[in-house]
Amino acid sequence: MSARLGSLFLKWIFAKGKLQLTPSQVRALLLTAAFVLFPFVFYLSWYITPLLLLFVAWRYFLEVRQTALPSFYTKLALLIIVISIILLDQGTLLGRDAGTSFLMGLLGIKLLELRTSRDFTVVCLLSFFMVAGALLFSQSIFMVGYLLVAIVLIFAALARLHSTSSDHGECFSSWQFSSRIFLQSLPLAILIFLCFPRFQARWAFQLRPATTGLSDFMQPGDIAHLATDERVAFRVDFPEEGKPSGALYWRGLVFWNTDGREWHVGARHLSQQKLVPKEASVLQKITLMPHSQKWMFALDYPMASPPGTSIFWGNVIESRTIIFRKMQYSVRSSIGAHPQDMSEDIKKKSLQLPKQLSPRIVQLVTAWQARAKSPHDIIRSALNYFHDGGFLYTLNPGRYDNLDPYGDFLFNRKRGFCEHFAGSFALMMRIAGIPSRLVAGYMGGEYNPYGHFLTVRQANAHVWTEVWISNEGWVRVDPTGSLSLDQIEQSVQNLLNASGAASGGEDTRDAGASGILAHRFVRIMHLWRELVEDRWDRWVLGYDMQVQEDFFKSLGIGSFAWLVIFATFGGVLFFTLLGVAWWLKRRSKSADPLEGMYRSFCRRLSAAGVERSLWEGPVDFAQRAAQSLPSDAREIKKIGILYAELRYGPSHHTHRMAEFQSQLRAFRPKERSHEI
Amino acid sequence: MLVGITIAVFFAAFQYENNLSYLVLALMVSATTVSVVHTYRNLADIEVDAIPMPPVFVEDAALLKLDVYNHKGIAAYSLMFDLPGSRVLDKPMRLDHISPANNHILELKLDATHRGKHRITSLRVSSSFPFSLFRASFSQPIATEYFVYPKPESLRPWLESVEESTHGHQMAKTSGDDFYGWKSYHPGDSLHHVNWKAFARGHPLLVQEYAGNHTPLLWFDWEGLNEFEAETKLSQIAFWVIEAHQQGIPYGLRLPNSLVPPGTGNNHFHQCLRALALYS
Repeated sequence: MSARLGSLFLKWIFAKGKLQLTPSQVRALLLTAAFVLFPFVFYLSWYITPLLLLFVAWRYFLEVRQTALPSFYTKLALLIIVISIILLDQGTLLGRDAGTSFLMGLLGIKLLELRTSRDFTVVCLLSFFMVAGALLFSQSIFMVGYLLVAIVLIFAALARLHSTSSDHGECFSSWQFSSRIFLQSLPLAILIFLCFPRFQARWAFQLRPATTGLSDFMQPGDIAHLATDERVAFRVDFPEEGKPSGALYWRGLVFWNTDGREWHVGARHLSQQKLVPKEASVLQKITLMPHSQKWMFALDYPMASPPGTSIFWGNVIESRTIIFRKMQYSVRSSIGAHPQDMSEDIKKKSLQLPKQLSPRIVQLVTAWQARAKSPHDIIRSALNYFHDGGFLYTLNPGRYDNLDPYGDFLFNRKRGFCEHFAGSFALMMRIAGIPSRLVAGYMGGEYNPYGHFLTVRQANAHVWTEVWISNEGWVRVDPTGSLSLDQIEQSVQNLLNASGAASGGEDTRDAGASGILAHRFVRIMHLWRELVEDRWDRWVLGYDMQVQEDFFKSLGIGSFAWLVIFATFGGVLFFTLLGVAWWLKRRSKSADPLEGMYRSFCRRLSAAGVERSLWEGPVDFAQRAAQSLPSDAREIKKIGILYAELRYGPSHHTHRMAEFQSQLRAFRPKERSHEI
Repeated sequence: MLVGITIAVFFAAFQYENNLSYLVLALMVSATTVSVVHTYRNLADIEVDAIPMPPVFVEDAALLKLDVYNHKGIAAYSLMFDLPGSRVLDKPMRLDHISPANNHILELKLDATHRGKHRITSLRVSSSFPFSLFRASFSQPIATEYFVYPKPESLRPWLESVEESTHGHQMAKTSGDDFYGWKSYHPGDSLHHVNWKAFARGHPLLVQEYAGNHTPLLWFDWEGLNEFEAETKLSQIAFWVIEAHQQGIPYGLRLPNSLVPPGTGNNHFHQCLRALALYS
């Protein structure tokens, strides 16, 4: 090798190439662009689909026919048309929907003027941006999988610029190559992802998800609507110990006011009351899905509010801002405590009665009051009334009288969901002079034994009541519980009937004997999917400033802002250098295996004290080495001669390669040279 | 553009607090970095040798043949070759693919519009594989040179203007043993005139040449073409040289600053044309 690589230079050359594209390159790029843009069809306005089809098909047709590309004025006209359609539809070119629509239009027009390698690179990079844009619409695992394939396709398209003669099979497979680059860039990408500093964007654009779940007022039938909603409300981890035993009441909001039909939150006052932990306290780490409301959930009763939140009357936690994106918080609850917060105001609020009271209900309650010796007796009477009065707990309570729904429920229809029972119960308690309030939240949840977390769905939505009993405090009374007490615990395990978890009534279906195995399989799959979704939410989607800080703290890195920046760039540098070092190593290693084997022979001899000089030929060196190491003389000479034959001899000697190899492998100098 | 797109993705990620866009951003940065390593690796262990170039006449295609070796165990793609300084006609010269541990002969068409001796000292090898975002290049020293002979042009027949055996080298037409010099053996030469002693010592077959062996001897004289411009003179003489060479007539050149004694054969032919090419 006479001339070695001189110095290598690297130059930024983006978009310098003016090479004409081959038809196969154009086709590949059109396919890639179509693949990248396809998901938008589902999220943007209807006209995006025909526009996309028009641009891609038009350019494809031009390529097939080898006709001239559209003129400048045609493209200008198209641009104006695209802009006006978007403006008419959206009224702006900014924001998520209009912005991506506009970019799609630009990309489509760029496709029409796709001619040189420069245009090609521009389209590829724009496609890359569209990949990031698609993530603003969906962040599901499926979407991300799809987009990762799209990224590999973009890489492949870029690499295809280098295979003008891609039609013969000898040329490299751009697809295979780009997959390799993709895999090689993954470790560094993950490192950057973890290290790149996250900021809390104060002026971040808000993408408002629709309001889901509970709302700040409730009328009979509201919760029953949620009973079939399988969407996840929140997930809970119990970092300290496993899932607490007993019924899990996830407290969300308290309704104080009622007009006889609806219940409203009413009073919103900060609570001053400190809870004294009575029994066990449970730490919960909750990942709350955005619901466009402020309230947050915790087990009865939260002891302190997480940062950025406050505790209001009725021991409920509220965020200071509306929750538009997934949030994580830790909260500690005291199980089985009885809050003692009571004041004149609270008492007035919790005894408030609608202006028009149904006389039937008053009559019923007065009868109980006459016989009762304590508030407990009245409560018991009411619960017995539900238990023995022929009431039915059902998902389909039907329509109720608008004027007096609770009277209608208590005396005529007697079919209801939890809000009917709880609402009428609280009303009756207030008539009897017992302060009471309605609590809305969730009950139970599905425990995932693989991930050790609990998933609470909208279907778990529940309403119960709390009554004030002097000397005891607020006591939870769940009138639905008086119907069938065992159901709740069982429903936690009964995940096939997630809707049954909340209702726990006659909805429980039993699987046929033959179906049990299939059910079990479905259940396991379901649990695993839940687990993946949870980890996804937590580690990928929910990797924000707080999680990042925690993560670095767990690695033993405390204050970290600068460190992160250094780590990022250090990581980039490190990997680049690693790659270059690896390449240099490859470079010095000749492609010739014979050379490599001889080198290892020389290394072994040098370890034994005989160094080969640069000018020494293999035979001469073997002679000298044999003299220095008499006990190995025979082998050394043999290897030296074999090497010389293989290296310089006629080609028919190559069959002795195997012999050389085995000799070399067996060769270990038995002694060290005494020469210096 | 790449920087612009990266920043745009960053803003999308930042403004919408979209973690997955950060992931796309990280992938972009990482893939760009990885691609640089691939760009380097693609150029690693590439070695280029220039094959000696035959001389050409002005306006002919001068072909520089490069022997491109790929010493590494993987294929190399999309290599570009360029000669800084000297003009390459079909730019950019590109080699799509070399298999692992293989070589490939590549022809670079060089500019040959000016006569003279052209020297090539280094070759630039570059590649923007795989993503065309960066170009890595290295410069390979190659020492090669080529002659561009003047373009042969005929303005007048040489027999008219060129005096045979004039100016000094008077030929004795009758004398058969006026020893003139040695020339290499060609089939048809008399075996009597072969220098056998030298041949026995290992030299090539040499034949005694006698000035008076009845062949005409031509002198192409610069002075005889005084009515033409210098370049035209060179073109004319080049044409005569070719003619004389093809007819096998011994000929010599007499230029203002050089003199090529008469002779025949390929070496002599090229010596004369080189003298013409180098005239200044």
